[in-house]
Amino acid sequence: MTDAVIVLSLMAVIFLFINYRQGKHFESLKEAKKMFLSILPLLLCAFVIVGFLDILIPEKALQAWLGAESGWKGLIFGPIIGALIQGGPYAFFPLFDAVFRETVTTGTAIAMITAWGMINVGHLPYEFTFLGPRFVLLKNAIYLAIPSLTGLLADFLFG
Amino acid sequence: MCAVQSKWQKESNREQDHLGYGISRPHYGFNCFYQGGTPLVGGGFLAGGKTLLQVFPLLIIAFVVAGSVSTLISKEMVNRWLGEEAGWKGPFLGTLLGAMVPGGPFFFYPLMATLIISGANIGTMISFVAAKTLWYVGRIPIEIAFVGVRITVIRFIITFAIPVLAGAAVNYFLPGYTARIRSEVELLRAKGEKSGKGGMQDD
Repeated sequence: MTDAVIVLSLMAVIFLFINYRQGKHFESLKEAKKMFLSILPLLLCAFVIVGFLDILIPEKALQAWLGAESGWKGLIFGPIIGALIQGGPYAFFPLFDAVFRETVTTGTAIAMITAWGMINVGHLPYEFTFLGPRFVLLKNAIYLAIPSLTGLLADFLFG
Repeated sequence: MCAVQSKWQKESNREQDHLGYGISRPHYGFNCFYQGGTPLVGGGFLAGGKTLLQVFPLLIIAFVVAGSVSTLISKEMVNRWLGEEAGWKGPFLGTLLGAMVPGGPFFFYPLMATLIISGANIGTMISFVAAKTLWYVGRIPIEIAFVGVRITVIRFIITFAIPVLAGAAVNYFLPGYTARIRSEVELLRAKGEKSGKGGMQDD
């Protein structure tokens, strides 16, 4: 968590400085406050869900299906879970942090996050409505294997 | 999620039997109440509150970053990029655009429809949606905050080439798809306009 604080603080300073040079620093802080307040109720709900999940989900089962000893299973089930979890980044990442972060391997974590973004089932209705079935087919045919492959590559290179 | 949870159930003890039925918060509340009565429900809220307090300082910083990025990416800038007939500039521009365009799926899918109609190649849009869903820059602060620097960086490195490669492959191997998908999108747009859907689709 300390590394996250350092990196984010640096980013904040840099971006604030760029904004300051353009005379928009005050505006950007107001924007940050606005975003924070509009996200806060969602975050509160997310944290309560996360709290319950923490208590309810059996640690051993999680370990067996997604942990280091799960082997290739983690690279298959991780993306499936990722693709099924609904909600934007402010709901997904806190949940990931509380439930999966400690358990999963680097590869499974990357596969899960990638799947949540790329092949999220919650995007399907929008894709069908605005872009049509042919696009949905093309997109998902290309993307389907990517999360597991990135996970495999991550385990291979950095695991 | 539920399907996997029901798998977990088999390996868990009987106390966990009520886990797989839903992912809504009231339901979890109910589950907790069912399993452990009021103390456990309180425990859920308490655990949630504790997590929130722990990450609160980090969140404030994350939002300062997110806020200042959003003031730097002005609407004019995005509009200028979109107006420039992004399709002919290929997957590279699509990738850049995808990484910078804010908003959820209710915003960027209509945006893609607009781009396709105004001449973007399908490969470019494949690049766009890959970049948007893989590493939209506005998401990075929150990802670092909760997932950590290491995994965020590794994920970025490994997926770095995917959007451009996927888009270029589609443009190269499936050139006929652009026209076919465009006519489908135009059909959907015509339907949508009849039922008077949102202003985001307007040019």
